[in-house]
Amino acid sequence: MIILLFTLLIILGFILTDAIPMFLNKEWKQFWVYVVMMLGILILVFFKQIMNVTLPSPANPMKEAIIAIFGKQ
Amino acid sequence: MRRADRFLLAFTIFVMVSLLTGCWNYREIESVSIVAGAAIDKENDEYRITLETIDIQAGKEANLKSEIFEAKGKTVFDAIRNVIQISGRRLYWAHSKIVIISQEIAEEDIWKPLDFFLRDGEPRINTNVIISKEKTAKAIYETEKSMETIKSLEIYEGITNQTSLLKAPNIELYNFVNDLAAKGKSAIFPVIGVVTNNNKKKFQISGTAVFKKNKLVGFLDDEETKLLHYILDRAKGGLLVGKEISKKDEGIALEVFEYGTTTKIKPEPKDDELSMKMDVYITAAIAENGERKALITQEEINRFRKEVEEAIEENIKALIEKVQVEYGSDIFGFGSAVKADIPKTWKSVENEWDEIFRLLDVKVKVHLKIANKAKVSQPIKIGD
Amino acid sequence: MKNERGDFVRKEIIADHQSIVLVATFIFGSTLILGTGGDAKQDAWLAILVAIPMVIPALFVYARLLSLYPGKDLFDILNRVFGSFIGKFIALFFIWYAFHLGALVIRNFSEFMEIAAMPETPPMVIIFSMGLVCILALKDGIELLARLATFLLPFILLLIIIVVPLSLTQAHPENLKPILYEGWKPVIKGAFSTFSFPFGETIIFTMVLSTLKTKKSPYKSFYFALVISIIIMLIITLRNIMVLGHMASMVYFPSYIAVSVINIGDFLQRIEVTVAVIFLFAGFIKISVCLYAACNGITKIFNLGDYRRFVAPIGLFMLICADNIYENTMEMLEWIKYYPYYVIPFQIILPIIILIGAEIKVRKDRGQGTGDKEQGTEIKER
Repeated sequence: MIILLFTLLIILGFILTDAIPMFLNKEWKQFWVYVVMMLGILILVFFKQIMNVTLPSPANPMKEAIIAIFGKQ
Repeated sequence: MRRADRFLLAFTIFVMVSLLTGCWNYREIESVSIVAGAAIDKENDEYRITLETIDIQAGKEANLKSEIFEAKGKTVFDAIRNVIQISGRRLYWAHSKIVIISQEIAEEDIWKPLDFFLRDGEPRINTNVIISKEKTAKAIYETEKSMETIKSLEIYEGITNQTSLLKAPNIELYNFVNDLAAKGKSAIFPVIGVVTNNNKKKFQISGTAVFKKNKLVGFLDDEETKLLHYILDRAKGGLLVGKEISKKDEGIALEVFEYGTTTKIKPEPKDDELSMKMDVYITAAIAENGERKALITQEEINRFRKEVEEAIEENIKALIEKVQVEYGSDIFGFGSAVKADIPKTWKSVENEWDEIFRLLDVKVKVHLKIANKAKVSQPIKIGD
Repeated sequence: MKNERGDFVRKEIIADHQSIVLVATFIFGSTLILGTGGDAKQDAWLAILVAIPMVIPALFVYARLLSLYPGKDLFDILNRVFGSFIGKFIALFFIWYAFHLGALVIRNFSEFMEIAAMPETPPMVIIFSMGLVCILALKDGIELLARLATFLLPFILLLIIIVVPLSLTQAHPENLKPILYEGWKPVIKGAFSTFSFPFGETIIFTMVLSTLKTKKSPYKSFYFALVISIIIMLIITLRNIMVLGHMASMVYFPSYIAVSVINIGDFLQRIEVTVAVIFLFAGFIKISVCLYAACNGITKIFNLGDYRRFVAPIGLFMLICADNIYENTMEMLEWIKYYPYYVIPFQIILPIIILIGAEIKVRKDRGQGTGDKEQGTEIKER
């Protein structure tokens, strides 16, 4: 919970310094990419911290792919 | 300053203020008990841990008081956590100096209680571990204190000051782990016991506990331990006296210097037979000459030197033989010497090293250098 | 040049000595903590030496790429050589690698802090506090990072110069023997993993060092940095083996343990925090460089303009990735075993393909008489 709040604060801070100038300059593409990315982060943190969903790690599939290509070490 | 910058500054200050106030789970000094040392016993399949903690009392002068806690548990860590039931505080291990293990545990499996001290983040890996010769390890903490108010520190001092005594090895936990993991070297630990001194019970650090793999197999007494230091190249001082240096026990004491005192072990493979060659270099001064032996001319000195060299050689040989026959545990590291110098041979003997060690022939050669005779040049003549 | 806020932005230029320091710090950054060539056990130092002949040609490939197109980074080069579509496709792989590597380093850092200093702190807190520093630093540009590296390196070297002689009191040179006890095979294996971690990771700098001064600068920065980092790594590895012996390959963070046993006269002890400080400095540089590479790539292939404005979201993504990438330390160490195989395409195959393509393309352009003049305008100025 603390971490979610903390992330929220950080994101707010960055949005104020980065996204608002983009908005004022009417750079819509950059602005929307930025906002969507930040929303994505918020959702990921929410899932991890509140719902306790373990997000799939890319490490294991990659490990299996390496084993498949190079053979078992 | 633009508005965004001003905001960023405020934001940074806010983040810093909230982050730099301290660690996540900070613990105040009043809320933890600082552990100085511990003794571990086994009682009916349960570990019993006896802890000495340091209490720091505020006041004009910083007062150190020690307190003993005792708890039982299924494992060592369990027992340690159970101490909270009595002390009410969490224990802080980063300052613990010594761990005393009872003989019973050491004979069974020394590693079980020690794993926690290597693995956990708080205890340091250079903790001194000592084997108790008494029935329990706890008995050491029931002795009386002398100078220091904290017994663990007293024992720790006793162990580290062995450099000028050599009657117990100063083995730190990670040295032990290395020897335990190494093939061709068995581990040792110092030994502690209780003696009666001036009608008071006192601890006494003396001797060596000999391990084979993770089990205690026997002890060496002080004099053997002293010679063991020379074999292991750990001798950094100490005295050589009496029977150690002559057959006749002439009351002469040699003080050994750190420089110029070293030991070299070299394996000598000949055909199929493997033997070890050990060169012990000792630099010493004559510290006592109570028998008033004439040691003035070069000739007299040489004769004396030869006598001493032979005596030490014989004593070292006797010690090696004792360990070979009685314990069969390669505490001298002959195996690792073979592995380091002739790895090919080691590969072929690795599996039968136990038997080979028992029958290993060791040639000992002592090279003594007498540096000086302290302040007195002539033996004291007794007049009327 | 002006950025979107309307401020005047100077073109970022990195001087040669700054790039040398940046690359050197990057190379020995996490190696100082994690150790390298673990397969070779007491011959780990030999593995570093054996790795050198493999590293030199690899670094030549990276430096050659940069000097073929001065002022361009890997993403621009890909765009020019393979065209917009294929170029962007290959660039995605490199962005992933930079992003992933950054996450790995942050994770290493947090695991180290968890074990060494703060076992009860949630890893997310450590990750965030480290990551935020990197993000905030990078928002001021790569040039600042380069200057910071030149400022921090003397401290790192000073700490190493002070601490290493102190640990010699506990050193046992016989721990190094026997040399090559198990033959060359583990040493070669160790050299291979030393190549991939950390030397091959300098491929990240082809995405970073686009603003060097001269055509020769890339060679200079890579090779000088190689010399510096190899010396430091050799010293540290030898120290660790001599002090710890068998334990050096038994513990996760050998340097930390090796320094923690220093005890000189009972008053000079418990100085292992110096190791943490070194890792803090060097890890910070390494994470920031990876983050820069990822941001640079993403903003370039999606035409998002100034990378600085996207440091924050991409950095935060990296932090979350770092938190999720492994379940625990054991998994991290398990993954490090597979890491040398995972990086082969990024560190060896793709760079060689790109270099061949670039060489052909440069010759062709020169033959047609177009060339350097046009290069500057093709990619939009920021």
